Amino acid sequence: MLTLFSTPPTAIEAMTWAIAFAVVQQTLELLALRSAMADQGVWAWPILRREFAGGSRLQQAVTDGLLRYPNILGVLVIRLGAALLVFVAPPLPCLLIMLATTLLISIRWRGTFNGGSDSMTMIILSALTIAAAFGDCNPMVGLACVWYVALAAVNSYALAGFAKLRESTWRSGAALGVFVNTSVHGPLARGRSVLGRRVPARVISWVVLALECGFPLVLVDPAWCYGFITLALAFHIANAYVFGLDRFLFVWVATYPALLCCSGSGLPGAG
Amino acid sequence: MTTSLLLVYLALLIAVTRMAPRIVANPAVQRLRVLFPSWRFFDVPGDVPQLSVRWGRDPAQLGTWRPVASRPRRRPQMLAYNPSGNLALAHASLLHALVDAVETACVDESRSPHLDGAEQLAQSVPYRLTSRLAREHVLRSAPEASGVRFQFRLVLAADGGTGEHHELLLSEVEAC
Repeated sequence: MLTLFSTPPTAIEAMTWAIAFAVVQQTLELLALRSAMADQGVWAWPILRREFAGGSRLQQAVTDGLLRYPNILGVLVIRLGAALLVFVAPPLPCLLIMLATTLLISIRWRGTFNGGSDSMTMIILSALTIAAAFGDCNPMVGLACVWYVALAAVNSYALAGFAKLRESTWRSGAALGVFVNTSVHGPLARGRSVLGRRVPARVISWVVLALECGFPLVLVDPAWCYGFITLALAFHIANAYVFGLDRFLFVWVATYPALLCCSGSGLPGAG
Repeated sequence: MTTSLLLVYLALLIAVTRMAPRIVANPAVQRLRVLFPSWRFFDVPGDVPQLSVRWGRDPAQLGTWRPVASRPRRRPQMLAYNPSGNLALAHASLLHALVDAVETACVDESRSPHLDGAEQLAQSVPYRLTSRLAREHVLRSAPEASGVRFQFRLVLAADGGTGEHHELLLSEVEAC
């Protein structure tokens, strides 16, 4: 069977490019929302900075300097530049800048701008930064970083799946219709009729549960891995359209080289 | 990966899922919560906070309540680029943060009666940001906004919006 990203260096390179692409997408979206971050906007720094009132003078000076408007736009432009440069420049400085600016932007939005997608971006960038800094000296570091991202991806699907499986509304199919109808984009034009019927709603719910709860099987065999990530890709595209979760699509795709690299290879050190 | 390792891993995942999620109220941890993902996406159709606003020149007659909910239209390009959808998601998270702030203010006031929970809430960041959100809606909806006053309210709709509604917060009347 054709095995892509079979070695840690190839997986790391693919993940670096994929996460850089995701960071470009995220940054362009935030730049388009600059008026929301202006002092007259909803997410005005003069209001947000109250949460930093208890900090030291140095901390306040740093956060004021970096996070107030329009300085935050400078942070975004630097982030965009680092993400674009990673395709042609040495990766370590670019990854460090992407990591630091992702953290700053999350703090600016009171913890996260887009929940789980910001967290997974941080996980991938942290792992890649460590791999770029120390991977050349010790190949085990690169391997450990790839496993770290792979396990984070598996955890994200499986924990979401097991949490849903405990809910009777998910098992009956009712929860899916409720979530779709309360999406920020409104109910689907045909969704009400399809998800309002018991059998289709239950079938779609169980497909989601099977995908998420069965996701740890990607680690068993590359064939399973290809199957699951194909389904997961379709799942993320549907989520992007139904719930507006476009960022999850690109960030989670950036974890797939790690999954393909680790699939069927056995844990490092395991017999 | 050996079968036994996979089984141990699965058992660990299931055990983690059975643990009740811990909410850490520490503000520093909240600001760094990007580092502590929970991965429990869309697990329970819980209470949905809904924001509405009314406005007018006479504070005694502010007109009818109107929902503050931008619902960006679905388009094919939003699979790759969806700033308005992501902003709407951030606003939905803000309303959940306001619900937490209301509950914290109520608990603090019940524990220490000398504390003014309403004042504490009105000074909180989620409240001030939500006030901005309501004001922005008024400014967009009313072309002649000078001298206009507005009031917002937060309603909790149970079971993912399909169940009972109850009013959680009614703001003071504010100037635009």
